[in-house]
Amino acid sequence: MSSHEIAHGEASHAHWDTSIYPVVLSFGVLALTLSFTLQFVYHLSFLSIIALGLAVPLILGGIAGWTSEAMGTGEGFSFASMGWFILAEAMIFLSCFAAYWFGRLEAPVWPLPGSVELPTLIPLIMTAALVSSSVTIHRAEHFLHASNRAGFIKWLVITIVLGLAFLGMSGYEWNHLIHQDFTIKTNLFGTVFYSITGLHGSHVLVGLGIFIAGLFPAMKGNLSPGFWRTASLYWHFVDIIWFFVVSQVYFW
Amino acid sequence: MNLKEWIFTTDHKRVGILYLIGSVAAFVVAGIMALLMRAELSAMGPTITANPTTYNVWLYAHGAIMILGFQRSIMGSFVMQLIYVPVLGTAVLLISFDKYLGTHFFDPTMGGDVLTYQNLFWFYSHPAVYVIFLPFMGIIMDIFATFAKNPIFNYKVAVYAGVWGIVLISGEVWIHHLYVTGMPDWLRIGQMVTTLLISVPVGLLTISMVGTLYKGSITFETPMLYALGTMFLFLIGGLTGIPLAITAITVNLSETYYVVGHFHYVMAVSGTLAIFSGVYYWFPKMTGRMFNERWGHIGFWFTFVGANVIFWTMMSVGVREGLPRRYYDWAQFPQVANDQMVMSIGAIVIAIGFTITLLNWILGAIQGPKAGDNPWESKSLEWTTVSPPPHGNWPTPPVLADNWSPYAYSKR
Repeated sequence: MSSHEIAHGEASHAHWDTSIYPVVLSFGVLALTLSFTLQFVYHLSFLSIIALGLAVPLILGGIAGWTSEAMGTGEGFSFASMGWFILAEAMIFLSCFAAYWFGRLEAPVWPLPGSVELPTLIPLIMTAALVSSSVTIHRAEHFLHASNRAGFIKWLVITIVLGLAFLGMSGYEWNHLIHQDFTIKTNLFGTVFYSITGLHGSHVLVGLGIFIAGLFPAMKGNLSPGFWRTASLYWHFVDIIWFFVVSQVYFW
Repeated sequence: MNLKEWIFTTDHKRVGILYLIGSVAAFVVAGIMALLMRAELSAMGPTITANPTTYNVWLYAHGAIMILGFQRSIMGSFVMQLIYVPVLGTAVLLISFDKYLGTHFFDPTMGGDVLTYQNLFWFYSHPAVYVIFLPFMGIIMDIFATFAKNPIFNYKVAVYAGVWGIVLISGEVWIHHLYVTGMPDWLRIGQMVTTLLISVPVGLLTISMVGTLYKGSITFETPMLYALGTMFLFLIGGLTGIPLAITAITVNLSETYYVVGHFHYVMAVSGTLAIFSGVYYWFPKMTGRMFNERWGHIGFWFTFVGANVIFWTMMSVGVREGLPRRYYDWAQFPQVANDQMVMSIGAIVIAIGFTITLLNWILGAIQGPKAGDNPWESKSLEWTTVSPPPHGNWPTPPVLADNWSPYAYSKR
């Protein structure tokens, strides 16, 4: 093929664009699947941990490398792509809620046997923390556009602290409920409670990961407005989803 | 050829070709599964395996891997993939949770609901059919225009009402897969209406296809042969879907071979033929070389005849005998022995057709004659560059006439 290309006079384009990271990420995902299969289907815990040990660095390295490659090329389609990604994410949450609604609306009695009274104060404080964090990241962006790096970093750190506080309270509450013998295996409500709050919590964790990954370049003076606009869109989405979680799971 | 620039490529054309190779590989594996099933069913009683579970594994693998063979995207189906694929992902995740973590999403004894799984599964899997259908419609429309030398008939209606109409309605038809497993009566009638409604945009697309051919100066090169075959198979598949949408009839046909025959017509073989026609059509552009036209024709006729032999017979035994689908054996239906044998022979005929096609592609890509930039004399933009297109697509920016259009064939 190459001789054919040169015959048409494209020798000036000697190199096609390449990136090693899509392949790295693909092998990471493959290793992750393999790890789950080894653990849950074949019960080979040791091999599973080895596969997991391969998967995690490959996936994280793949994401980090790919992102840093892309960050040099400007905002590109990242903001719009995040919108599409959020659409797909919303469908995942909707599917989980659908499973909850199907079960709950058809249940002859509710609460199901084995359910416990959920605390009301903690979810309210968690809501306050997450809503404030949406405001603080917005505030941080305001300072970013005003080219005030110190202000930006201050409000970003406050956002991260609020997110960590949210996760901490969530963990405290899980621990409290598990000690009351209310687990993911108790009944459909236990299943739904832990999977939906867990799914949401994992999104908070990813959001914090994005913030912390961007914090270090920001402290060195590397501010990428496109990155932060996209990251904060994601964070607002996580915040909005929480309203559904808190209203459907805690206060219904 | 630099291997590194292929494996690590970020160029859309090369990624596309890598996908195509992956798809063909998945296709071959899934096809082998189908052949194993046909071999098992060719005679009564255990034939090549005595273990029904093995048969089930083939059945599952055939269905699951074949879907990988179909992954394609144009805009409409891209939007649909974003919306529906996460739902399937969640359904699969929740069922693994139930199996391995002891959760109760689908466990009625603990408050869950079995039908939730079917709902989530079909919420994805019905639109998935259109995800496959829309790109193949795009492929054969292009091919019709090129080989009939006509502009696409009713183009705007086909795009806005046809393609986007399907995208719009597709999310509201999945419940018809639960006609028999269970739903309230009022919902059944509503679902019948929405399911039949999908034939409106599909009908508009069909009108565009036929209109494009009308008074065209048609030539029958291999891509066009495949495109016409697609239209024929899709017509049979579409029309045999109507009885399945009608609740009163579907209770008799549900879970029989009729359903299997129908969805293989409408999705599997017409989709396959459309993709083959696309590969043949863009083959000279992708590889810079030409396939063998005669073997292209021979491969087509084997595939086309074999597909009709299998799937027409399937629909026929479904209606005549009510032969249930998915079964490992048919000992209670000795009267279908001949049909089973005919279907298995059809499978072999298809396998021969696929093998010829695949060899034609491989040999054509390696040692076919040079194709030139525009062997089909198409007006579409991709044919203005050299074959295969270089990095950056055009060696020099293409110059277009002011009145350029991709379908500007001479007006009749």
